[in-house]
Amino acid sequence: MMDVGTSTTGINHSPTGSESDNLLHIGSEENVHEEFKSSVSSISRGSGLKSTHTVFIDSNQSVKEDVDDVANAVRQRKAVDFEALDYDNIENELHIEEERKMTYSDWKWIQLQRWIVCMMIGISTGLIAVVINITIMQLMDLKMAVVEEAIIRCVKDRCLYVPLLLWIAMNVGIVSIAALLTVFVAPVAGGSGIPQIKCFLNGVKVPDVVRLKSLFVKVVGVVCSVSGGLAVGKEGPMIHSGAVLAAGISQGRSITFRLKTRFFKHFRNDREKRDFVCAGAAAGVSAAFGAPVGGVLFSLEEAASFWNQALTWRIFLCSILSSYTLNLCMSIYHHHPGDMAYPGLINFGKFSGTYEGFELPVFFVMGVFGGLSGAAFIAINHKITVYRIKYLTARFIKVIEVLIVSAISATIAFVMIYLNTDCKPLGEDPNVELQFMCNDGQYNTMGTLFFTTPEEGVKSLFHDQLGSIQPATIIMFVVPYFFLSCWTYGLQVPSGLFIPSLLIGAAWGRLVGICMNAICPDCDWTQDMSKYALIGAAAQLGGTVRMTISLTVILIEATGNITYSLPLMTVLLVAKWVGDLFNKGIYDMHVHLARVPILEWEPPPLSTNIHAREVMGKPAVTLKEVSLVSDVCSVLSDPRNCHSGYPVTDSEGKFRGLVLRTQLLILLKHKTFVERSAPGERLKLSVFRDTYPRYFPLSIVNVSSEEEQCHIDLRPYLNPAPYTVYEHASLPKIFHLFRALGLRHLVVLNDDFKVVGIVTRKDIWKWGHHPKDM
Amino acid sequence: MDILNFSLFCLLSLLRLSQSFASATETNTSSSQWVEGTLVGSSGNEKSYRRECWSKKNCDKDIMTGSVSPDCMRYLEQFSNATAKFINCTVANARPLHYCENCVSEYMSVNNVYKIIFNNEGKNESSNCKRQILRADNVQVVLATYNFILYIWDKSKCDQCFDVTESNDTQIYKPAESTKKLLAMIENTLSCFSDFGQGVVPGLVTQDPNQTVCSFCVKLYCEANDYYETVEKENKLCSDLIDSMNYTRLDWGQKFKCSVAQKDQGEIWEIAALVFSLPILLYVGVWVHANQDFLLGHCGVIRHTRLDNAE
Repeated sequence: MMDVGTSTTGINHSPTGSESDNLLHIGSEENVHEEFKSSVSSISRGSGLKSTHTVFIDSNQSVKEDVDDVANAVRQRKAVDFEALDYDNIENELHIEEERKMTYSDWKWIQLQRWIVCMMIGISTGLIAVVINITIMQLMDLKMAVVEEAIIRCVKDRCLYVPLLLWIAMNVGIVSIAALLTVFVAPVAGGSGIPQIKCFLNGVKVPDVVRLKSLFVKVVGVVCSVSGGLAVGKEGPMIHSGAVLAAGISQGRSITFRLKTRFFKHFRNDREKRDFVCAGAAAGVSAAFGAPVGGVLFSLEEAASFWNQALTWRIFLCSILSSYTLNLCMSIYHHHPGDMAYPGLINFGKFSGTYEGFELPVFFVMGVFGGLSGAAFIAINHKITVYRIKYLTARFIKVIEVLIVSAISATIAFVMIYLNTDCKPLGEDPNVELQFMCNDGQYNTMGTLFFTTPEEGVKSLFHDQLGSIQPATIIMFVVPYFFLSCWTYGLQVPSGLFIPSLLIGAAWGRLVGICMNAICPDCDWTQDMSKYALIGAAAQLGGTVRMTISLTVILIEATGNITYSLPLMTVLLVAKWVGDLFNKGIYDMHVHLARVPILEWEPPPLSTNIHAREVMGKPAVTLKEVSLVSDVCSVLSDPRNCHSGYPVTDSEGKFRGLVLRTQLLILLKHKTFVERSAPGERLKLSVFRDTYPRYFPLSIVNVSSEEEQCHIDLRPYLNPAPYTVYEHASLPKIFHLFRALGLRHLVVLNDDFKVVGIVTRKDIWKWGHHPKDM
Repeated sequence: MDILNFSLFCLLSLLRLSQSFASATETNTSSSQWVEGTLVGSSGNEKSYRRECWSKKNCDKDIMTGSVSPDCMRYLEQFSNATAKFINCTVANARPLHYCENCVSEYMSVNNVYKIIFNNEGKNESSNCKRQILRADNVQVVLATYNFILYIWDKSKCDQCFDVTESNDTQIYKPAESTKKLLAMIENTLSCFSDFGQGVVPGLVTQDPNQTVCSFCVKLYCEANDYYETVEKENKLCSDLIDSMNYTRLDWGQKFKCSVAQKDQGEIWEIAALVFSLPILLYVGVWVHANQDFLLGHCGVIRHTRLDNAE
């Protein structure tokens, strides 16, 4: 809770006048632009609650306004919620000593353990996917059987309100499990989990994100929300599930179950954990779409801000194993053991058509439309999310909102099927043969879209013959579904966005196909609807999530078709470009609204003239190499110093290293005072490892007044060679250091090697966009 | 699409094959067109010769001396006849769909001959029919044809209508009891339709249900319908049954208008209105509640406590 990773953010807590000093010291720097200065000072003069974040967060006008709105509601909570991860290895004396004792074969063994962990992650992610898949299938069949029976009975007996109520009741019942679990046990499990994982891999520790309870809530929640009929998919949550599994397995222990093994103890630090979480996310994608390569690329493109080449191969093994574990288990479930035909949670079926070169312009236009439609989706969802953050704060209100959405989903589906007059004779192999108000021997075409899981709907839109679904039916389906899924994403239930986007896109893509066929009914190239549905689905998805290479590969792998790679790439690129003209991708939008200090791909534009001394927090709180306990305590207890690293100086004031807050807490708790211990006695490295990752607050450390006069020798524990910059370093340079090395603290030195300040992730994040743009 | 192309190809090649055999067996004059050619000796001595044949008997002899042994040749002819008969039967029974029922013996004979060829692996090259017939060339017409027949049979789920018993290496196909019963019920229903639905012109769309048919045949129809569903649950439906039932249902629904669904009396709309009003209530309520705080001037205090609770 305490750490913010910045020295200036602490002021948000303190209601005293000290904050305006802090704010003004930024504003009074020479090189800061005029507008910027005035805005800062006006804020510091105005409401004492307003912080600098409102100004710096984004140049985008709409986002800025919303953040202003949201700021009041979320500032107090969010600003302190996020810690940065410590990726920098602390090469202190303890570490060096341990490494000296290690032989080459020990080192080999650790390397081997990495491979073993990756294999375990892959296999267990695959198994989780199997559990999710089978449970959803069974629950869905059960639910649909009950409703269908009631419908068949009531069409004759004039009691159609019975199946409607039944459907609503079952939806609400099933979804309430997901909502209650999410809201009361692990709120971080809500949504698709991709934004959270993205933040984690970027270097921000979102609380609880990789805890076991999040995994439990995610798995149970996604089963309930999908089979409860919400407009969500189960693919996004797989990525989060894989990440949690990875974080759990790599530690070789579970704090929740008080289970502790001696395995993998070398991996108990943020750096190793992040690598494994990367692998877990890849395994999740791989299991979700049957796309091992797509999984690796997803980790590379979307998630990891810095990439270790050696990691690629391990992650690839992990994703392959995940996909094939799922494949094998599903083949056994379907009574064809060994028939590897079920690579992913979603199966798009076979695509065997081709396209003509002159169709590319058509696809291009579809890409543009996908970008527009995706941008509209994000804009609407943005408004809804802002409203939710502002007003829907009470927990029970959140649950009620979920239940209302699930009731409405059922009602819309029922009413749409009821109103649909498009009946087709049986015998053309539809997936769902719901008769409803149709004559005997016919089925309701709307039923193939609404009366099933979204995945099956996608499949119908992809593969049903030309003419099997009327254009009117598709329009009646896609318009409500668009708004429904827009409304659903961001609810407090685990929910994937891929499938709803694909469904919307496949629907309008098919409409395009029908139009093309109407223009040229006898042309060879307009007979194949699956082509247009697929391209539409890709365009919509690309316009919403704004991924390019990984999405292309995922779709190629999921459809098993390389023929469409060029059109897919074209539409995804075009959709991303068009969408980016209007707003950010949906995940980035949610990251921004959650006010997570995430570092973008690029440093702020035109910011070379901003220097370290403007960016850094100052004055930096420093400690002496041998400090008085009371000094340490007062530093730790001052909320202004809640960034977690403190530069250590020698008696002349020269910089000697960096010590972390967590290290100090452990030292205090174990009372390793100079006066109390034998010379040369030190805490073991294992003590630090065992406390990771859940540290205790300062309040449980009892220091008597007598002990306050003792000293702590920090020299064996401090990191003697942390990264430093001179105060003239430019913002882009600092940014690249942070981004490439995953830094948490960067000490700023002046010409005399004296510490003048410290830069943290949040300090950079605040400069997210150049003040010039504002 | 692949399957379709493939089956089309198979069908064409099969027709060609059967035509040629037919022509070879039917008339002497036409047979001359077909066997004329060069045959290469099997011993590898490249002893090639050219000979024309004018009668069926001669032709057979000629083929015997070719690379394919006479036994194998006989099997090939048997297979050709069997497949031709099966295709003939299937296409003839395609509409209304009854080939599972009517072509099962043809299907079995195709299988039998194929099995003989497949299991015939002689010691030397010349008597290995499997090799000489199935894998002799790059088209592999026999194999393709056989796969096509299997494809039709499987796609139609024909096996599900039969009780297949196996006794010492021979499979016996007997129509299942449920199949017979269901077919009889559907037939009864259809004959009821034709008895009472005399005045109905096919294709003429009328709005009013045909009262005579509806009232007289409803019992038969419902019984058939219900029994169909039980059979469906047992997974014993083949295309014959599915197709007959579908068309019976279509007759009932479209031709005679007997299955008019009961429109509801507005309850759905009441429920829908109620459900749709819920979110409006929720959102407006929450919004008003939040803004009330502002109006009362306690905004800061109240908001803080709520945020604390939220954490």
